[in-house]
Amino acid sequence: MALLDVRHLAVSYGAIEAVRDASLAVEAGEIVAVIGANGAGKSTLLSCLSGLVRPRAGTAVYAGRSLAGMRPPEIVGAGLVQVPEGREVFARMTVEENLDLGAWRRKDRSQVAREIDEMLQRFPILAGRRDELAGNLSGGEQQILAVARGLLAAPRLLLLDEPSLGLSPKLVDQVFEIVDGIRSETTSVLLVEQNALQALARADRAYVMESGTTTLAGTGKELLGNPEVRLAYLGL
Amino acid sequence: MQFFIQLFSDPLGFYRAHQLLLAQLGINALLTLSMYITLRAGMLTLANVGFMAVGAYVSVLLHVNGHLPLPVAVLAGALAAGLLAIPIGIPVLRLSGIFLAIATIGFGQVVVGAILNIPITGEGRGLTVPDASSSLLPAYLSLVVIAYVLWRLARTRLGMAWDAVREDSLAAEAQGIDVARYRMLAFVLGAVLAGYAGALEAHINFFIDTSLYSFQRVVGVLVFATLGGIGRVAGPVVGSTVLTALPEVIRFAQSYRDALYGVILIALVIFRPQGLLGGRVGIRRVGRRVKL
Repeated sequence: MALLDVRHLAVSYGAIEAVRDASLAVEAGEIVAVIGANGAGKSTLLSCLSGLVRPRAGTAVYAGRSLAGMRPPEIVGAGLVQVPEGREVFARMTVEENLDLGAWRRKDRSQVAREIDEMLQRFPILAGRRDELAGNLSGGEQQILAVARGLLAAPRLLLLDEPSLGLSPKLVDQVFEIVDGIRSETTSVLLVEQNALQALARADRAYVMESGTTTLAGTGKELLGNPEVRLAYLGL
Repeated sequence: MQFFIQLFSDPLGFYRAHQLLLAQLGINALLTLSMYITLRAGMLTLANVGFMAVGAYVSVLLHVNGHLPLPVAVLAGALAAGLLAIPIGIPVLRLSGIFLAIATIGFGQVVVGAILNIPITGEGRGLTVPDASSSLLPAYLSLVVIAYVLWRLARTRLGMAWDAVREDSLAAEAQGIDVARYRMLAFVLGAVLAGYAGALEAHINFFIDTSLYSFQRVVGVLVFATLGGIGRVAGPVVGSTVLTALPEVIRFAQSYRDALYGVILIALVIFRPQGLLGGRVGIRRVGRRVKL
């Protein structure tokens, strides 16, 4: 059974239907991308999975449990962790405090302290800036911090919302290399992106979302070769 | 100048002359600390003066009519305010920012309205506490203890959760922090402390009526906390002390006193927007978090 199985999910903000009919699955160890234009409902889909907004219809089953009845702290506790869009780091807290907050639900404090050290080594951009206020980091550094913070929650499924938004091409490459590195037997990634080329190149499988509906599905390569996708999202 | 000269040359005479002011300094510092708790958790609630009134009236009624010993009555007043905060908080804490402020102002008005209409509270005539003690010791002792506890609290898991919720409640929620629970906890603890300050004030003053819980005081406490700065526990204490004593200190300005007070407030906001003390909380190290 898939790690995450979403069927016919719909989410509304009042009268506005942000997600109409989204269905997708993530298997353990996969990187799955959802691409689509601005306003297609991709971010809402992720926020719904992490419990921040409630679905109007449809089902979402994660690791055998329905997400419908779970509150955000429980969802994080179960290993489904969202890295919010727009580098939502705690600007007036240090890099270390940000990482520590990522591990909020974990009880194994000494292991967390070790992992924070490891994380600082793994991302050289953060090393040596332990005590720096997160708000003083550049946009790309904040994005990497946000991803690192998400990883400290020891996720089984990491939800990444537009990790490349507003970054320089060089940093975009770096962020996607990190995403590639995250995927392992124990961690899967569900990635929402406007940067379709990079997302499709890195993803095992991908979905296209249009006006709140998942319309196309396939492997990353298949979608990269799909003429419609090439025209609409890759500008080729 | 007279004020400071006497403070140092004739402390005993100063104490006698300014006993009411000294009591007010201690009470206002406690009340401002209750505001600090909710601000620390990122909530602009203006309900604390209302909770203060609840604490005051409950403790006076329990003491005078219920014949409970004074300390027990004071604690019961604080507890009553905290209990009331739960049903108020459940609907109101769904709001944030300016909407939360407006809703909580409403609460303060409801409390005053209730007091004016419930016979046992003396309605508009207020209540007297015939056998109270004017000792300032309980207020100042509590202030020291509570300030210390709050100072330690800032470095605990709870303090960290409040900081995270204040800085970015959405990101805090995404880390698995139970935002609603921590906000409620701050709201209730703030109410308990405000109720406690109100109960103490009632017994130091020998008399309470609704004029103590005016909208002006609500705004006053907000100003004390903001101008003191909430980065540290000392901020609200310094803010409330300076601004409570200020009218006395600038007495020389006579009929221009209110105007001068206003000018000083404006100057403070312009030149010290981060608060008199400002600054951020000390850096927390992983694994070295303080336990209370």
